[in-house]
Amino acid sequence: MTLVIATHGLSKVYRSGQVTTQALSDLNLQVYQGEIFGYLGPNGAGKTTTIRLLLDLIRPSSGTAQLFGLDSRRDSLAIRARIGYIPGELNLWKNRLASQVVRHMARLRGDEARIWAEAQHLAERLKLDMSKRIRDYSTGNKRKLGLVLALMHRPELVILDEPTSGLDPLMQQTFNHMMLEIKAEGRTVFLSSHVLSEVQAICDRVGIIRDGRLRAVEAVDKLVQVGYRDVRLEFREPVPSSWVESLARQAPVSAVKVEGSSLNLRLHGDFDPLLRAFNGAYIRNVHINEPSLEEIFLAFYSDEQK
Amino acid sequence: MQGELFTETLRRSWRTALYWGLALGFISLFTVAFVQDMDALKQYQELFKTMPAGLLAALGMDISREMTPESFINLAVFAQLVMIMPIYGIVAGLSLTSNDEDEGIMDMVLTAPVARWRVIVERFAAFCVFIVLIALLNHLGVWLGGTFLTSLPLDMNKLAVASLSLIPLMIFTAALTALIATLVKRRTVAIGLAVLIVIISYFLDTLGAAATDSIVGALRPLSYFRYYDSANIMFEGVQPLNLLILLGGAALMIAAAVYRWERRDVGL
Repeated sequence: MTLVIATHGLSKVYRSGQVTTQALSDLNLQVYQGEIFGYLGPNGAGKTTTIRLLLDLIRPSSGTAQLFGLDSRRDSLAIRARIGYIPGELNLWKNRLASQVVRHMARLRGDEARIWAEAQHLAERLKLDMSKRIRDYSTGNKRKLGLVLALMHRPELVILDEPTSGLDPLMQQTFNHMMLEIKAEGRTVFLSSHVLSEVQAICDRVGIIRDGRLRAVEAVDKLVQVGYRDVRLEFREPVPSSWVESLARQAPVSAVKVEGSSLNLRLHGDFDPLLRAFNGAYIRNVHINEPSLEEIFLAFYSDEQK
Repeated sequence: MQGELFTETLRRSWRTALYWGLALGFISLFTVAFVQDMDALKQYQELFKTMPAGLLAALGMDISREMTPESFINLAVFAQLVMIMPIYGIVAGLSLTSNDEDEGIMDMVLTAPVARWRVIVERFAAFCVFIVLIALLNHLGVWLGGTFLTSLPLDMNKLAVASLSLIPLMIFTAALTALIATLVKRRTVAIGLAVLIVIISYFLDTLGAAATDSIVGALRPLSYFRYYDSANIMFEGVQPLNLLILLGGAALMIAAAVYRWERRDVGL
């Protein structure tokens, strides 16, 4: 497999007067050609810092990054010619028409006619009217324009920072299709997100970053298999305490707790053995909480360690 | 594509430059028309004789010389423009990197395959074109006023040289602001520092001219306004050394801005 992104001990420290902030620590990450890589983490985890380092917008305090085997600093121009990017918040010249901005960016990339034709095709697909001024665009339309700008030159690597926030569900579906098409063409997507369903739907592998450190990298399929759900069942009658032990024998559950007529537990598998274990007891209501991908990660790695 | 940032800057900012040029042109046109003939000029000269020499020197007037129509225009038009035109220089300097960086637009520009130096050099070149346009429109106002609205016998060649001499002054201000913007990152800080330096420089020049024997007079060469001298330009023509100091200084500051811009983090 061909490496598209490879970082080696990549670190970034921000200094502001006496205050220093370690935004990224010793990042060692590999992303391969033809995959959709999800990069997940809470706000301030270091996702955007990683992306800005890859794009050479900011410079590393230590370590290196290579894209397509080229150095992110020395060969920045050659790399940027092969990359498409959507920032977390797209800002453009507010008084310009979207079409003017798209043409300008196309000219900066050097092949206006071909790129403009592709941009029009993308805009049609995303139902984006490019004859409007940027200031008149809604958040969703700005995201669409960001997609057009990122994809119009058919880049080999697409880097997307929270790309679907602001898109309606239909457009999210279109977005997912577009990403899968890019993958099918052997191109690569690096996607930062905190939306589990989005990552599950399109990503092949996921990296979790927290406090500037990469905590884990794993295939999404493998993670979903070890997924669990936190379940709260409300019964008509008070729950006998004897259920706690018997449930653990009959169904794939853990962390069982009784609270009056309610039962809280973590279900690792199908629902059927659990419902059979209640032996016809009257259930008023069921609440199911899907865990975040990070919680699945933590569960996955604690299982691995066991 | 080489030159795209230059042409895009022209496309995006030509209206602002046009409005600046027209506004200054109109001010100059009506100011020139203020004194209708030589009799009125003589009355002004008598009035000036009653004013303190230091004050007149601060306004750029050499009382050792006989007042001519051109020296009156210098006092009425160019001494005022020197205060106004650096504002456009600051606007231009901020437009090279600071505005786009502050608004988060620079990220999109620099993710295209564009070398960072091109952002500064191409945009600076575009603003130099605008500065020339503004100076020409201003001179058009002087010429129209001098030709059609007054009967003063004006030497238009001298006035043209004085008008065009505003160009290096504005270019220097733009380069100074651009350098500050690459050094301090935040636009509000860059504006504050640029305005501060321009004001200090202006007053160092005017007060230094009024009090040549004082410490302010000794420090006057530190002011870049010292090297724009419309009165001397009209009487003695363009001073090559002054021109070299302003344009050479601007080139050095742009080079320093590029050096810093190439090496620092963008945005955030």
